[in-house]
Amino acid sequence: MNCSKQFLIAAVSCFTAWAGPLKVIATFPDLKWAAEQIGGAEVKVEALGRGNQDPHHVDAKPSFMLMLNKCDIFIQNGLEQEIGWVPPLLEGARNPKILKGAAGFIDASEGIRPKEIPLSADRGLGDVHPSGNPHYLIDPVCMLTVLENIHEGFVRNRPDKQAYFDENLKASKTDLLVKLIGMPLLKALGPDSVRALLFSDEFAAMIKENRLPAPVEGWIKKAQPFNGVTVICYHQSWKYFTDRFGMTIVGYLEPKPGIPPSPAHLLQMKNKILDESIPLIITDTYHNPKTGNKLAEMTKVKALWLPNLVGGVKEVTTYPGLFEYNLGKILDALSK
Amino acid sequence: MIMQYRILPFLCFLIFCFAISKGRAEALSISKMNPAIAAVGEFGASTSDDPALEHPHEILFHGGDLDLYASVDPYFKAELVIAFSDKEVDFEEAYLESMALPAGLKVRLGKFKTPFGKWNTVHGHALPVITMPLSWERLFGDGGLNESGVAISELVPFMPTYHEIIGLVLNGNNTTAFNGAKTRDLLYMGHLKNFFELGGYRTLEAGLSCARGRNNQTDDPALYSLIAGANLIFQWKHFMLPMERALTLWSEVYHSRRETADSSHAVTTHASTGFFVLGKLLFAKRWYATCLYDYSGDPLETGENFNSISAGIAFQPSEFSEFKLEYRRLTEDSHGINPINEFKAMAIFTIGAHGPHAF
Ligand SMILES: [Zn+2]
Repeated sequence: MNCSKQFLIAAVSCFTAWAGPLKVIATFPDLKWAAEQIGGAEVKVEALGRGNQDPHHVDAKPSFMLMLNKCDIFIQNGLEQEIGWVPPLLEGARNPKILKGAAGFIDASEGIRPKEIPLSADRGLGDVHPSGNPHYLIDPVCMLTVLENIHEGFVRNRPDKQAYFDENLKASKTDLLVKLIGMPLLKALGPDSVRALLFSDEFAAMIKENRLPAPVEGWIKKAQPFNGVTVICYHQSWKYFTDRFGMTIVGYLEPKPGIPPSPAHLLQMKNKILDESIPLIITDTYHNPKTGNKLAEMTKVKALWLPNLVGGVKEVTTYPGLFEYNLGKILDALSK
Repeated sequence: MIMQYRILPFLCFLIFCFAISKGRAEALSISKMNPAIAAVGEFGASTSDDPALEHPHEILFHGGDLDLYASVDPYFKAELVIAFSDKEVDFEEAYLESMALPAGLKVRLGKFKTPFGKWNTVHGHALPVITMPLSWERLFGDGGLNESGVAISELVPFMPTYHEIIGLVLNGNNTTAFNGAKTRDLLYMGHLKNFFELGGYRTLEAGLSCARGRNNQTDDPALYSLIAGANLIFQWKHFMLPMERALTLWSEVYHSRRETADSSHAVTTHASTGFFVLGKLLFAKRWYATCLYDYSGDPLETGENFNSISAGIAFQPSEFSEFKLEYRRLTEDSHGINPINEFKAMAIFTIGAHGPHAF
């Protein structure tokens, strides 16, 4: 009896060992980074899209189908960001484990409160995302939710490793919060309260009026000089970032989402920049910087070409690196 | 002590924040039980110097497709493509496809564009040219080899690259190559699809196809057609500007062996070959140019071989609209008829659900 029980345990542990790390495929490098934080040695993660590739337009290549065919877990950005390419990939992957609703399917946007939900889903307004702006990965606070969603998915697939995933989740959230707001504020409030505060619209006012129980540090402090700065962006992809770091987007180089800039629209933007003395134009590295540069030449404002995703420039290889790089570049541009 | 005093009103505020953040998700769940619906419309104009044409100059609404698409249940998805033309309304495609069979198997049942090469699987409005290559159209007829039947496919296991084998049993109700729907025979087809990453943004798809079925309706004698095909598609994209600089080279070759009988019922085999080579260059955002060379042997033994070359340019204001302009020069080899020149223009629009991007 005892012997057979021992044998069973041995067999199960053998099987688990044989199963090896979970094979995880994420749509973007930021999600890959998040999965690696939670999964650690228990996962092997690959990303389909690259950081300098338009996230709306990754090719649904058969080679990706093959990767998905062999994986245990699939993580997508969601909010219809990948609507043009993930559905055919999942269909072609022939892997019931990762179909929507199955244990291996993780939608990282679960629980994210989308910004800019259009009042009507009308293509006359451009290639709108009906569920709201899907470019939330560029907000570190949204990344906390992403880490939790991925944690939940990993636990669902490897319940025996829950303790390990729990520990990684706690550590990675703490690490990200320390980088974002600094240790003193995190210690004073605790991670859950800090999080709720960051999700509220009151945070900026509280910093300004010095109503916080401890001084703010980290990226938020680094970004204090941007507070109130107006900016023109190429696409909707910076909304979560500018909201987080206190900037205001006052115009887009795209006349409507997904529609390339027209000469008439650029003239309008040029006048706007001059009239309202807007200091900055931001283009993501998956769009051509040409338009932003041309406008900068005409108006003498700064045009930045910044990564919106991890890997958007070769210097940025981690998620925290994305903020170090972008905040540094914006500070540089504004101080000149 | 002071610290605690400051934290109290703070905690009340935080509880309020939590309450808001819990409520939000429900509001988003819009009912999505209806199938995704997209409608495509095609409007064209053409002018030709072909003396045989009754209306050499035409402006017409060619018709359109209504595309309905949804998961049936956790096991199947279904797609219905209803084609409207000036002559008729017909199901261009109507099929059920398995989503969750074990061992990577996939089954498709219904009427669909069969995977004989890649050209044959793509809807006309999604192809980069206006005039279809004759090598394909004269062999499989208007609309291609679009048949009712069953397809079973599987990925070749244990391979580091993508290889898919598809086996099909079809009704064989084609207007040209296979026309044995009323006989005891079915049409059998196979396709092997191979896909290779060549590094950077370069890929290669290579496929082999074969089909055999009846081409006549009577059993005295029963006549068969055997068609073999190969397709090769190379794609390159600029690594920084994939949406602005890209090149596709696409070629398909078809070899047909068609049995025919003379009045004394003696069976002979008529062999013919056709092929096309297409280049598509994306040279600016939303703009591409095409060049097509097409040779059609004589698949139906009418004694005519056609050569054509065409060049076109297309502008896509958005993913949902497209304008194409095309010039084609067509020569018929054996009869020494003057070459035919034609210009065509087409506008294509899509409304409704966001379908997958073509790859
Ligand atoms: Zn977008």
